[in-house]
Amino acid sequence: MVFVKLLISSYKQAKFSLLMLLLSLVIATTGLSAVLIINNSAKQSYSSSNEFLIPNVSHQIIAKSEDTPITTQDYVFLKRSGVPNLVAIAQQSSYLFKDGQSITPSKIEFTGVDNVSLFPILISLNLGEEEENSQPTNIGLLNGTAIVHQKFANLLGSDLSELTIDGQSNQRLDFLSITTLNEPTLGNDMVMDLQDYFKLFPNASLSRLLLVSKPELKQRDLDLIQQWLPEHLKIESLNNDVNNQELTNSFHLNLVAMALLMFVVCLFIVLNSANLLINSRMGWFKVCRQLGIPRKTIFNVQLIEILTLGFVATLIGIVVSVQLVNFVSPTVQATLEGLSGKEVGFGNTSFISLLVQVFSITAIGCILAIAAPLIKTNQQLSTTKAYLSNIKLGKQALYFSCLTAVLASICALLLITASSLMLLLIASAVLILAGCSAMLASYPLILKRLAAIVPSNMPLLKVSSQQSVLLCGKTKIACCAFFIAATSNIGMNLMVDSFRLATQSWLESRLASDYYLYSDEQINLVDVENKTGVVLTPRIDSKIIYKDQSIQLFSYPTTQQFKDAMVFSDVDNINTTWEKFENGSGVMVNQQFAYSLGYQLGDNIRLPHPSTDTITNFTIVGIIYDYGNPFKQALLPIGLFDTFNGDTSIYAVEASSSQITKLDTYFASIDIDTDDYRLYKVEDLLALSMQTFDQTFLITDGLNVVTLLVASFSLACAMIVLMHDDRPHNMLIRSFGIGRIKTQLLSLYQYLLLCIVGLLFATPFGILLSWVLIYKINLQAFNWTYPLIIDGINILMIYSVSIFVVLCVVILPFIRASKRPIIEDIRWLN
Amino acid sequence: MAKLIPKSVIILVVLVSAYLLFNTMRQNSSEDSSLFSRDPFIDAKQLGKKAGPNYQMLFPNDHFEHTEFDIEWWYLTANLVSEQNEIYGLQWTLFRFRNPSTEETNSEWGSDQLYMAHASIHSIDEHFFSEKYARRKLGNAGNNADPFTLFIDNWEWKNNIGTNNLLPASLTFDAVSESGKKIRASLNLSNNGPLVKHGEDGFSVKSPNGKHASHYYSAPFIHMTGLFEIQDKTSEDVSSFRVLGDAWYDHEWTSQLLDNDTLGWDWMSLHLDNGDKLMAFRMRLDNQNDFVTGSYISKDGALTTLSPNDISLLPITFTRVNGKDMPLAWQLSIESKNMDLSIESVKTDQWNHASIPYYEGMVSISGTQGGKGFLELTGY
Repeated sequence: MVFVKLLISSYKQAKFSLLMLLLSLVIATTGLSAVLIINNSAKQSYSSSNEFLIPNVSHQIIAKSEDTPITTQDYVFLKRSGVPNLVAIAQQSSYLFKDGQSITPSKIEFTGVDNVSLFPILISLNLGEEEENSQPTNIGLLNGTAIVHQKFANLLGSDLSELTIDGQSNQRLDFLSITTLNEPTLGNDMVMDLQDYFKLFPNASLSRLLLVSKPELKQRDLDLIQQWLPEHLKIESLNNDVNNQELTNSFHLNLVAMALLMFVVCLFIVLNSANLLINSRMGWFKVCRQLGIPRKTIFNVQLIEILTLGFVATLIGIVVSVQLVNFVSPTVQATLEGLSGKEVGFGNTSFISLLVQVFSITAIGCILAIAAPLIKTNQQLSTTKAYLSNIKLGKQALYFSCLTAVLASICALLLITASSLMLLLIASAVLILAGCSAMLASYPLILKRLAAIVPSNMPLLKVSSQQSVLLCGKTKIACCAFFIAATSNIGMNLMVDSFRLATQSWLESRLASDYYLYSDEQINLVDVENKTGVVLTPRIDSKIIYKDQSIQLFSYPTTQQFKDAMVFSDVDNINTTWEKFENGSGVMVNQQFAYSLGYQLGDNIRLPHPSTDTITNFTIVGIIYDYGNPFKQALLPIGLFDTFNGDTSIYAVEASSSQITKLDTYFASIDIDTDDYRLYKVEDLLALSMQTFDQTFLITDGLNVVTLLVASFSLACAMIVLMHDDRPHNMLIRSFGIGRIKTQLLSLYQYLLLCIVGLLFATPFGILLSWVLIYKINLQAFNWTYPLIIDGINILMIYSVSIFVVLCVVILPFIRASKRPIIEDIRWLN
Repeated sequence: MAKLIPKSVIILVVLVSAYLLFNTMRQNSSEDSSLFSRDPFIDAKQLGKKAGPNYQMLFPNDHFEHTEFDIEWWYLTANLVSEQNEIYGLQWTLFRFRNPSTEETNSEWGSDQLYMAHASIHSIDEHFFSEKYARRKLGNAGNNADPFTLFIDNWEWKNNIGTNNLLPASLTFDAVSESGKKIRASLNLSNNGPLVKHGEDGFSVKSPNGKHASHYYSAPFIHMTGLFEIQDKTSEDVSSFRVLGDAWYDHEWTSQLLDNDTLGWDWMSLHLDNGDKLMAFRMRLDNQNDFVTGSYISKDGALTTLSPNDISLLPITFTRVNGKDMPLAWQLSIESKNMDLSIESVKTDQWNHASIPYYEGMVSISGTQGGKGFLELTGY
């Protein structure tokens, strides 16, 4: 009790350290809660699907090809033939617009269900209510109702008449009323009866026919159904156990990895803050020992204190995290869906369960975090001698140098030999560790060199520089964390910026026309040009099968304008290239085609001629950039497509603004509505593309900033701890009559030196990391790559942010220290 | 990004959500004691065409649907016996509902008419039952001419001589039991007597004030033969056997039977041993006395309408079935015919576990006459 009273009364002096610890804990619990909430939502969506999947919907009937979709007649035919428990589903993804903007970053999934067929099936599968309470059902209520999640309903708002599909004014939701359902599987979904679905999408077709059966359909049932199936349809099992299991494992692994990462990051910042607090109390711990208070009591109370702070932080963290998750939810949802390929709903999280989870993890983290400082404290309390750090710099440098060499070799080996994404990711991690090791090996040497450079007529600066050599040995962990964060940050930023610049430059080059027209209508190009003066150049699309893979085969014009617009990744003589392309002997392929199939310039490939379908030899005369395209693509001159009835839905438009007006008039005169075509000015198209790009990397940018802030914060905490160890040095400086402000500025200089050297180390490794990400990982994952562009301004921005955060955190203790009277400084004893 | 699993999550959400939607709707009328919720019909203007005494029933035209009326059914019941002398009760019904709150659109998915069908076969030990729903315009349910056909999915009643007459016909349908067995019925129906029109030339009044009425005719002299094929849940074995017996067909259409006053009804179709037929009907109304009517049909097809004064129909014994007390034994008296019958359910649990559940099953007759028939109990 005595010690507890002493502890409480010490709070006045330890306000800053306590605040730092509490802040660290709040950051930790906020981050952890946010991740757990997101995990929980994702898991609920996933497990909900798995839970219901097995008993009831085992198979579905789908079209073999997109060209021959399931028709209503197919559905009726199968029902009349006797296929039992068949339910038609239609699905479409579209954006919902309100006031000209999409209400969500990702598309809304519209699902239409044949509720009339589904209803008796549910009854028969005993999913309905017990018959004691049975009451008749008014089936009329089915129509005009859409089911959405409550959170999505909040996004929709109360007035559905304001919403349009993809901004089309003739596709409104005003005939629907909303029923909310807090089912975790529901994300940005609207589920409705097929009658309403086809009101919204009159030209849509059915997507699939579900076979609902409990128990699962037997082979004889499937064989019987197979007999009835029209030629263009097939039965598919939905219970792909192997795939399911892999996806489940992969999905869970992702979620666990996210949570673990957050735990480690949080543990790290709490460790540093706990270290700070314990160090600030070291003086009166020793006094307490002298008063006879056992070490065990001191440690137990410290533990209880941090657990209590942990509990308080948990409560605050949960509240903050819920708001944070709601704020970022649409973007995170879209990202998770993109990463996992699974629909992610909103999910329901119980406060109590979250509190228990977060506090349990926080408690474990707090115990681990305080363990190291307490062990160090135990050592210090068990001796009255001054603790002298015995840094054998030479040995450490040798050790870390060897480690660097080993890690660098492993990294190089992996980069050269890796054939899988996982190995490349490991190589990236090894690269960063190698950099870390190199930094630890070189830190003292570089600081010594810097100290040597400082002229002797600046003794204070020289001494401080030399002091920083000692300090660097005490901040290994924090400096490593800072290095890793800075390296990752530089690497990721360079990668994203290179991609952004490459994409922008590529688009600016490839979008060579004044406008671009999107329309599925049949357009007479000659008539258009004669009547309006507008030149339309179509892009004729087709899909072919090459080496058992679907390949895009597109036309490309050979006018000078389009020749100049092309951006090559690999090309020989440009004149010869175009000559061969124009005469029909050459083909241009995108990087995805070339790299995935192992082709180079000059290789011959055999493709079907776009007009005659005859297999023809073509020589690869150019490999082009095609950023973000998931498909392999080959380009042939438009002249080869003359007689080919390929799909044309995109046109390059050469026109002035007055000619565009004529074009609109022309379309109206041939009964093409404004809803049937879209015309984009090239500047608008470019802006839209870059906007989409930025949105895609929003989370990446956010995470980058967060990791850098966290690491800078941790480094700052470590530095504050060092300020205590630095007091003998400061005492010496002060005793020479140096002013307190100057003394503190010199201390600040030492610490910033650590920070700047760390950043300087991080820079080349960050660039290397960027290179690995672009030329190895991106290539391996997507079969395309882009040039690495090193932007000095970007790197300087990272430097600025890091130093700013460190300064913000350390400035207060420095100000306090600068106000200490000289008598305190010079009488300080370890 | 290509999804590795087709959208099963959404699909199952659909199942769950549809269930919940329907569940919610079923809970809506928990306090409502009427048979069907009339919420969409709150506006009298929305009521379908009313049955009236001046309607002239003509065949074969009136075998087809009457879409201007709110509700309609084609109702077949049969008392069958197998080669092994086992008795079976068969019911096959096609219902049509008109829903004015649903917009009729140009789309094949947009119809204000809905079909519901029930197929039920009872043996002493087993019950096979299935239910189907369908939209009218989609094409998988309805009625056709040339030949006359009533169908929903693969259930079909079809005139088998190519005419638009109701009979002779073949009837095929299937159903499943709770144990997972499947039964397929392939039946032939032939007519051994005339069609009869109930009430006044088919205009059948069902309440004291005449507010409840329908157009109603029957074919009570149907002879049924056919084949039952039963497939076990686990094995590929199919057991089949022939059945034959008497069947009764009703076709009724109305817009006035189902309102907030209607609590339910009890209906019987009886085949007497002397060859005569009897239809007895008790309408149970809110705040009104029960209204009992009937039709006595002699074996030559002559119909005598029985007013409430002519017929007495009283439940004698109530038995607990599916949590409800159901009148499974009745006393029927027709003084003018010197008839005093005891009618008793052959099997206690003949409950149809449908979306709108009701009791429908075989009865045996004793007393001044013997016989067999069917009993329907709704609204309990």
